[in-house]
Amino acid sequence: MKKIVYLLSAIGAAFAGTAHADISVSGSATSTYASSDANQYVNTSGGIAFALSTTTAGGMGISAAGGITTDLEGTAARGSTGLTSLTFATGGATIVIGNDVAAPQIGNVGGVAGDMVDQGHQTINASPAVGTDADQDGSGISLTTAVGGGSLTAVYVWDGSPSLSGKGQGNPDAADTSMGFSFSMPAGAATLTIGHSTSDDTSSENDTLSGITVAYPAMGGTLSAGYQQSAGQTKATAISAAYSMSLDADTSLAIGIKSADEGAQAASTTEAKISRALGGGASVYAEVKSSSGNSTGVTASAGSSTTFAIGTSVAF
Amino acid sequence: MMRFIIVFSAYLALISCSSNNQANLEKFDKVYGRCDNPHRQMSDREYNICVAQERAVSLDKEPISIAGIFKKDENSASSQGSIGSTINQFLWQSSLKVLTDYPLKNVDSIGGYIETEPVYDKENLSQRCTIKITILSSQLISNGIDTNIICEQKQQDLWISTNEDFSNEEKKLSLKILSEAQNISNTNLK
Repeated sequence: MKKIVYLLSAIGAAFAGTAHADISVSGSATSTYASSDANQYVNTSGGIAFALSTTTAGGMGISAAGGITTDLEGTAARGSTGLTSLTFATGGATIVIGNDVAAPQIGNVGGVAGDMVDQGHQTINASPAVGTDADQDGSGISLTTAVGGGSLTAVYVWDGSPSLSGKGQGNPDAADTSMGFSFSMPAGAATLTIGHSTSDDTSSENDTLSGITVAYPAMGGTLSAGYQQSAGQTKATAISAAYSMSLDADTSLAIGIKSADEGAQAASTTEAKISRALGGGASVYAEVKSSSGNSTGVTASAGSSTTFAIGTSVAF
Repeated sequence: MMRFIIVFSAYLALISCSSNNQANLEKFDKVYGRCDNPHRQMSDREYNICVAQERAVSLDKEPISIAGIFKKDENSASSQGSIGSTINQFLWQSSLKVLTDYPLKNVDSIGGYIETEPVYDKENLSQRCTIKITILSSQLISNGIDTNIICEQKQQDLWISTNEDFSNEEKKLSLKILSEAQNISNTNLK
């Protein structure tokens, strides 16, 4: 019986898309109460994203995205964002060129909670990192393509500080560059992802970040494990694990742990989140983050910190 | 500069030997979640919206088309399936197109109802399934269509309903009809 139904539900899959241009809009809003050690926060924020897309006569999709946003933590962007990159999509590859390109950083699966639990959380951050360009993003190009049953993403960031040469403008001969790749592939029932990236500038040794993650379906959910290592300015290693599952059609749960060593410093972090859909794009959620260990740097000291957040978010 | 040219050239070479990119991305979406798929590049704003949709279990939610808003009057004017009908013509046409490979038993363009003849598996003629589609709206909206798959098992010359749940397959069919309806609509708007 399933065979017939499969054939029925598969019909029409080969329909070719029709060339067209469109501008669409979506948005989200979030309201959260967070309690971090002795501090409390109430945050309400949101944003609108405009997606601009067209399809050429040859079937290639070209898109750009911009938006109006209020940053969740009220500390960064408030205003217009995006529209500094173009995405070209064909059947075989997706290419992004512009100022919103980041080299892959693979190997940390423990950070399951959102940004809210970082607010007010003490800096207990012994962790693999790239010193020259922490997030390894900037002006560059990325390519994602299929290689057999796997996906390969390769990124070259030719200007890690594009804002220095004007918004939306990068310098292909800039001194701070990053490049890296990630590759995901099925390995039996598991999914394996590896990644490596390197950043360099003229004033320090090159920083590298390497990692591997394995995700495996278990107990009705997904169990993930990761290992990450950095060399250069920050020599550190971290192991992490996470488990996520759906409790029912509307409720999901995730928990993650991470243990890191950075020279004489060490830190461990546990994060958990649960969310429940209310319909109509609305949901409620609760998240918690607890860290213990040493702060890094000259004033390093042992400590611990716990942040708890509850809130609601709506996708429009 | 030379390194940039070499890297860019390597990208172009990789593109030429690739395939199934979208299918693979969707496969890894299921493992990592669409928002945290390492092979998807998203801005911070896009990521936040993705997370909100993920929490609300509404990742399939279509963004609002601005072109569609401006063309609303035109859509309304052309939303009649036929004289006296209140069904959306794009949903109607796409339903017929999706079912084009199967003989149709009932086609009611006034009421917006399509039913196929029973479809058999040639290797097992004791099983058959029927698709029933009802257009519910004069507007091109995601809940403007109802799709049902009903399967039967032959027992002693009688066809008995199996009462199986095919909600996932019905959803896939509905999404294909909606996708095709959007394509027809976009073509008409040009």
